[in-house]
Amino acid sequence: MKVIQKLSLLLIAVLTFSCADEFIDTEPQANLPGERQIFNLNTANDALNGLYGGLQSASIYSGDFIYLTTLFADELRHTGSFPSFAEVGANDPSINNIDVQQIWTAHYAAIFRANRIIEIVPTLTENVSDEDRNNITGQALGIRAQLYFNLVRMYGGVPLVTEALTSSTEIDNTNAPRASVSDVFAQINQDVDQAIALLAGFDRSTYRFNRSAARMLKAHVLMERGQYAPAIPVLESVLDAGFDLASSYLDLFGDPANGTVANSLETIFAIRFTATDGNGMAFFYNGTRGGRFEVTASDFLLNAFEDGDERRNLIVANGSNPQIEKYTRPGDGADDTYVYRLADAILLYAEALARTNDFGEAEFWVNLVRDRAGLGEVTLTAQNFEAIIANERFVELFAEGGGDRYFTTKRMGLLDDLVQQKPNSVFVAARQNLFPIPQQEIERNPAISAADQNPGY
Amino acid sequence: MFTKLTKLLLVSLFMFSISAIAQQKTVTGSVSDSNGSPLPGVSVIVQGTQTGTQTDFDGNYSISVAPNQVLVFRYIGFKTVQRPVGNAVTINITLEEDVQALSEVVIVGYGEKTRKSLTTSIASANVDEIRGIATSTVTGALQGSVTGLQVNQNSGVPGAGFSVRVRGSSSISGSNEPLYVVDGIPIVSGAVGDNGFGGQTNDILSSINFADVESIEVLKDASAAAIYGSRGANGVVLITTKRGKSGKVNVEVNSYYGFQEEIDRYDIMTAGEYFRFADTALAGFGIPAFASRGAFSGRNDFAAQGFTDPTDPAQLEAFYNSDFGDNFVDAVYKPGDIIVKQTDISISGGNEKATFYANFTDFNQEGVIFGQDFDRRSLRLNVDFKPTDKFNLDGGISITESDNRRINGDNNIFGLATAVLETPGLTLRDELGNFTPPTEFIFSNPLQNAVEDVSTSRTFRVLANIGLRYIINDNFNIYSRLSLDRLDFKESRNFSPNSAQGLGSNGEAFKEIDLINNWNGTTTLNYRQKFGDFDVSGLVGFSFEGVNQDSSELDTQNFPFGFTAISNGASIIQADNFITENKLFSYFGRAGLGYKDKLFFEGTIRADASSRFGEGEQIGYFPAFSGAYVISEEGWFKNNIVTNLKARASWGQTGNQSGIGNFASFFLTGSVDFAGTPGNAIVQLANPELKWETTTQTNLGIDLTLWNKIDISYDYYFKDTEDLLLGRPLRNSSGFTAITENVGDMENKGHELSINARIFEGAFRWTSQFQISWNQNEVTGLVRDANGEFIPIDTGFASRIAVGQSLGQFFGLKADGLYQTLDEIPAAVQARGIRPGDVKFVDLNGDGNIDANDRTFIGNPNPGAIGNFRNTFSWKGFDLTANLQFEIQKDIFNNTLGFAGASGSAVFNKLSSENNFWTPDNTDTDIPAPRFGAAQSFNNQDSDRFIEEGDYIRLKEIVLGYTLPKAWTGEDYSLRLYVGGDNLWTETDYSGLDPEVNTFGASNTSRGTDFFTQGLNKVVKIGLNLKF
Repeated sequence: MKVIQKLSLLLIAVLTFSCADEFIDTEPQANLPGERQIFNLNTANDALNGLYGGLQSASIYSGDFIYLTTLFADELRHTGSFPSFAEVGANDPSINNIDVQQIWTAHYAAIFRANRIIEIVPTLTENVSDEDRNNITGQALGIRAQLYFNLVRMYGGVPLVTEALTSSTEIDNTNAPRASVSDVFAQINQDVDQAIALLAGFDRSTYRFNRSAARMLKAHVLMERGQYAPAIPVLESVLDAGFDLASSYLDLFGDPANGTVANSLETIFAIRFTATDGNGMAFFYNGTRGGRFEVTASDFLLNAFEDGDERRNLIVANGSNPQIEKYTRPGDGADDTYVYRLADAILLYAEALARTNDFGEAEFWVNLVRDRAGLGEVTLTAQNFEAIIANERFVELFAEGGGDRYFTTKRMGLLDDLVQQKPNSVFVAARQNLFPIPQQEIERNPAISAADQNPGY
Repeated sequence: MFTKLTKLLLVSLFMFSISAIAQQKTVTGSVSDSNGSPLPGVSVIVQGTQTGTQTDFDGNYSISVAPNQVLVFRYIGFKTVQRPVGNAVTINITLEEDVQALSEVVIVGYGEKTRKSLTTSIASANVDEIRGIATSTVTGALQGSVTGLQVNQNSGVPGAGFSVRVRGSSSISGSNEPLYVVDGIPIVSGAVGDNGFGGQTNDILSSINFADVESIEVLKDASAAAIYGSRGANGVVLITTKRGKSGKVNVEVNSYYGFQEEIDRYDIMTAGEYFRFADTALAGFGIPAFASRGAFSGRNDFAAQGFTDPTDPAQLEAFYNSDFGDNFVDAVYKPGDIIVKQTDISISGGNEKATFYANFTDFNQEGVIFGQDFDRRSLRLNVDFKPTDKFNLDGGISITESDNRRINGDNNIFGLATAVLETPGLTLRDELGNFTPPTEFIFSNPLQNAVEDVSTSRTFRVLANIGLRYIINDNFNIYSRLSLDRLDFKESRNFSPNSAQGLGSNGEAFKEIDLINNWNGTTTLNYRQKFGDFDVSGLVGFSFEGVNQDSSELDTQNFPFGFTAISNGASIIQADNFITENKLFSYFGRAGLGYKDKLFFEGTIRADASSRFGEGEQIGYFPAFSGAYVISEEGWFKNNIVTNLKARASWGQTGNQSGIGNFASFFLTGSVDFAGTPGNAIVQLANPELKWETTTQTNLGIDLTLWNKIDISYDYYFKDTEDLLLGRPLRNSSGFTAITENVGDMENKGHELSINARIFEGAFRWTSQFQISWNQNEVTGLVRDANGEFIPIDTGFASRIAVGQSLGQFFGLKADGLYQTLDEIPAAVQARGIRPGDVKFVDLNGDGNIDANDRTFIGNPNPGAIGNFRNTFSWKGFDLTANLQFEIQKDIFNNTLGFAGASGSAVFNKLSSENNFWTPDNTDTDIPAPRFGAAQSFNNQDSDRFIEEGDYIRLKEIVLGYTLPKAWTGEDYSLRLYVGGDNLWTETDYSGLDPEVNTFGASNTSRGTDFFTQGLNKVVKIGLNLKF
């Protein structure tokens, strides 16, 4: 019995005194302190990868940004069940449309990551070489410009956030009103010019925002702003950077066994996706191999192909429905998304030439792209070039990362008519084919009021 | 630890059972009530010692005692009797009923009290009355049993979770579920594991075996729960398990066997009806083909059914009147008998020094839908050992293993919803019996999903505790307990390479393993002393608790056919491990004072230091005070009508820290990989001010007994919760969408009334219980925007949290029937393609158009009142119990109608009720015309068209039992046979399957939402209780 008594006293003593010192110390095992995000070359590179990870968002380059823009245009038809998609397919997104909101939010989340790099990496002067610093900062600047370019064309003027605010107090104390469209473009120009300067010599790298990607962005910006002549030399630098068209259009895209892997010859910039960070595109486009078949090619897209166009082979039959096959792995999503590839540069160059009345040269470039698709040559004139190039971009770049159909037809002033031709759609001229500023941003941002909403919403 | 302890106890049991105690004699006798009926289970204790026994089934006892000692006869519900032994060898006792039941012992936090001395609001569930409910969890049995406790089963899926609210909701982002404490150990509760099942969560409370439960107490007011500090704000459910009693070994076998059937099943359109609907929707919309000719499915059903000319109205009509293919809903429900059954066997006994209770329980529940079932096996051993007068050692261990098979439910294109929504017309299997491939379907093959995709989870749980009490003297004792709640949750999901979910990946397997350890150590110093008329008691103590969780998730794809193990997959998709922990260290104390058994006061305080709190908010203090006045003890009051009258008042503060993530206050970098390369990013903003939510509750109560027959208990409470943790929205353009801060406020106030009447006593007994509680919830503070306006929060499908409203009220448009003529449609609405037959929404802001600004509050999911009405009759061995459970003034947002209703997309099949849709010839209907595109989206906006009254009254349980006469069973045996039914009858106007379910599970804010949620089951069962 003595033993039991002693044991008991011991137990009480242990309970009383053993645990008092360590009682509430805990440390997260899967995280590092925020202050330790970027402090040397390794962490700067990791932060840059984190930024590319942000671009993989289901609301940017693996999904919504692409579906919603091209649903709004005449490229896609909604076949699935998401009401948010149905609204956009009918060109009548509500101000609460969840996907319209998530595209906005995902862009700003990635901009935050870019801002961190742009802010901190240039200060790492002691342990990082100039070359590394410039390269990393240049990529971040180029990506930030790209993200703002996406936003300004979808939503009009948006808040310009160029600082990474790391506490709620800082966020509360900083005003972020809608900037004017021209201010946003000024920021884009500043960033992209700086990126082009910092990325000197870094002209090709399939999955990095290299100097050619920055130049593609610059060229698109110039075209968007109607500055056609200045776009020509920028595009020429891209065309001279050693890219070439893949020998066959079908080579650009994968099969179900391997997925789509960005073509190393033709890609200017693509987002890489492996099975672990699955691209949602195949899941949304595919219905025959386990996808949800949420969207498919519209009749307008199907009708845009000429007979014998090889590119039409990337749309297959799913019963009596068409199905887009540029992404092939609905299971794990190991498909890359093209953001910029040479064909885009060529068609943009052709357009810039045509707009500066060099139809002969423009024709040559357009026919280069047509030739690869197995089509005969066209002759460009002042009357037909816009329609021909717009259509060529449509059939060449459909379902890819640029959401090109929406932006091209909007830029060219063709979208009003297209929307009105869509069956069962709502056309409100006052909206200028912009998406609504997400109601959530209006509610949460004291510097934006309901009166700042885009007209027509 | 377990084996050693067991050995030690077995050895000691043996030792003490053979050691005789000298100089004593044996006294025998019987104990009966005032009617002369024998009372089994009466404690017979030698006063001032730990020696005791209890009476057997015939009220007989036998005890060794010395002549100078006093025997104490104690039985719950009866007045305690003391009798000196003297020379007597036979002592027969008649116990008087203590009709006020005030001597009943009630378990409280870290102790126990008599009901009479209670100053706080604590409800005790009558465990024996709810013992026979066929349910997998303790909470299931509590439904309709405790006043002020709202228990809803989130779905009818076996093993699915419940949501439990004590006096309403008091948190938005934290848990609103009470803290569960088993034998003094706060246990891990709620759902575990990633929820990939479309809304419905599992419930790890299902690993607590209800058969072991001796009593359940619910601490409702802050004064009772404050001793649980920062976790007490939602109330506390104290579960006490059975323990052995000294005396002969008792064996008890309880068993039931039941048949289940779903309460209701969706009635869907036939293929012809669907195509009539969908073709009408597509007519004139530029869609390349009508639905019947393959617009969605790519399949020309019209031609396949042998029709040739779709322009021929007669052929079309014949086609629309035809039916072909399987009824998918009927196909996913299992045919034949769906069994639920449980058997538990317990053995208990012991001697004066050591007692034990051992139980084995086996519970099996089949699901009514293919691919669902739940099994549980559990073992428990509780031991008590009193080696000396100074030391008491207690130990308990329970081991449960449960297997739960589930399918996708609710909000998921691979679940029950698919059976309703999938385009009809196909058969689920071909002539050879193989599943029709999912690619033939719009979404998937609903039966194949349920049968070929297999998801099983196994929960293994050990609850072990060892406690030691050292009795310093008559007034002081010290008690220490160490406990472990260990939970291993393992879930495998296998998608067949042929099914919709596995097709794209050539088969896929997921494995999730969660290992949760919850260590708890508590030491209390307890004090009680009487000074004349004053009864002083108190305790001080401290406790530490650490919960750590180690979770792994694996995902592989690309399987050789027939292989299903994770290691067989050729492609590894995910291999994750995640470790987290939180710790809590607390001091607490309680002081009580009683005066002449009529005035009682109590005060408690707890100080909690939690690893979850921010740097600036390390310790939370939670005080409470309460008092009671038993007026009927006063000489001037005594009368024959009001035989007992007691007034209670309490005030206290409790906290809720469940809304704080383990590391939510830290500024954090996380790893973000990009295509196989490592990366990082800021994932969390710093938050040093983060702390618990505080609920201050005032409670006023009256306990009243009339004519010694009717007990009435009434409570009024007012709960004010401050510092609610909310994701304060940040402008999305900041790169973050929200940060958690203590910003919100909420109030709950309500009344609780409980009436227990012993209408007839004697040979024919009739007791009746009516309990009702009214709770009113109001959100009083949220985050403010720049203009000082509160920012509402939208959650769920149409739930909104807004100041001045009840939590999670439904928010949407108001509909006023359908447009009948073009003239009544405003121009702006007409411009959007809206035509007669479309929904006429109310233009609340009068701007001539219908948009989000016309939304308003359209319903409240929080019931105005809940309660139950239970009647128990017994006569000569027969017993009959019926319990009705009800909820009133409750709205449901029936989002099923947003898809399977006429305004849902024409891609989906529809409920057969939608056949009555508007046409120019059928205008007297509320069901809109089938539409497509913008008009369909317009009609389908969240509105009060989807709001339905969810009031119901349900026969939760009815049982008819018969206890066989002793003449048949023999003196040593007691056998009761019964037949019973659960949920046999429900009266409701709700059109969905079940007004009780919620697609968002136990969600705080999105309540009362139905989205193809599987309803509960009716159960008919037979059972027996055998004791010997």
